Amino acid sequence: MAQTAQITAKARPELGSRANKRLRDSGMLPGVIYGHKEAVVPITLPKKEVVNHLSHGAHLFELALDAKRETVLVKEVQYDHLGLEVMHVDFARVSLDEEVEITVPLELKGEPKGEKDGGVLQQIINELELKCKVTDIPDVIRHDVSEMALDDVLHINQLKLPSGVTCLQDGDLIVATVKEIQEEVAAAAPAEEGAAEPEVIGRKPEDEAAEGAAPEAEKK
Amino acid sequence: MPLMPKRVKFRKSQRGKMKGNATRGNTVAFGEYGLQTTTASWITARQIEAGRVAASHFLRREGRLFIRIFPHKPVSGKPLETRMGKGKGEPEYWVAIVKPGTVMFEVTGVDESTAKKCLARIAHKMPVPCRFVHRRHAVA
Repeated sequence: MAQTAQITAKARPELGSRANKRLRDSGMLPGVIYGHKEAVVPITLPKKEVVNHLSHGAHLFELALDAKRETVLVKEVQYDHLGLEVMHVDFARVSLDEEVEITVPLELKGEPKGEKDGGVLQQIINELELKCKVTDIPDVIRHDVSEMALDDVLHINQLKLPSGVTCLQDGDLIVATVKEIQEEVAAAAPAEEGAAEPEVIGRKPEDEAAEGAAPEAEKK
Repeated sequence: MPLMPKRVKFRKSQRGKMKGNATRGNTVAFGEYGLQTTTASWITARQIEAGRVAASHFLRREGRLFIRIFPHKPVSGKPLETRMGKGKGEPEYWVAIVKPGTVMFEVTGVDESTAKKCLARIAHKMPVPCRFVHRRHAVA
């Protein structure tokens, strides 16, 4: 079950991209708290601590903000274009007896039997959308696939979820398959570049032929 | 046969600019590991095909490869020893536009070290500096 991470946050009076850039340069992270029909509060967080907790899959935080403690759930994490740096974190206020909808990673463990027969395990769904109490949020859902034979299919309704946790996705969705990968047929000799051209939408073939002939004449 | 669209609205296109970073297609979405570009460039259909061939030779029938980019843009050129003018040249090849952060190839069904070796082979065929990336699980 998810542990509550303790973080000290400060209110963020300066808003806007320039102020946030200055914050990030000084090792802090901008964020925001909202929810429960209370005020939206922009906050500043210690980046190193928050990133450390997030990388360990923390969902629930207890923020100490100006002598006030708030239990919050991570709602959204924004990364930079390369996915290296955390840029901003959204937190939603929650109470501990509340039911929430959350996305949790799904890990398949074990080597399927079908892999010995030439199959390859393909995981199609990597994250599950779950509904559970805040205190029951699992860090990860693990499923043993060692019994999967060649051409076996694993559906969502076959997954074993912890008690008090329900999946919001359709039970018939395919999570993973063990299938033989067909070897690609060697492609035909590559045509000369520019030789084949795609069809032009809304143009008759005669027009294209006429246009193709005109430049040829000009070249001469 | 290198990739190209089946149908297009216009045969020729202007060169365009490659400003900014990738805001879409910048996370590993289908596989477990990916090859991400760190600069903007045109990737030709031949280069994509070379990457695919290099990866499929290396993987054999082990894992699965996903190609996340497609050459939508025609590039035209003039024939040799032609005087300037007389209109735009004929389409010669097709390119995919990639911006910093675009995940170009993804691999699944293999362990990390094999995926690294496979994507390094593809990276050698690419005209851009690339980095190896993992799938990132959402916490929200």
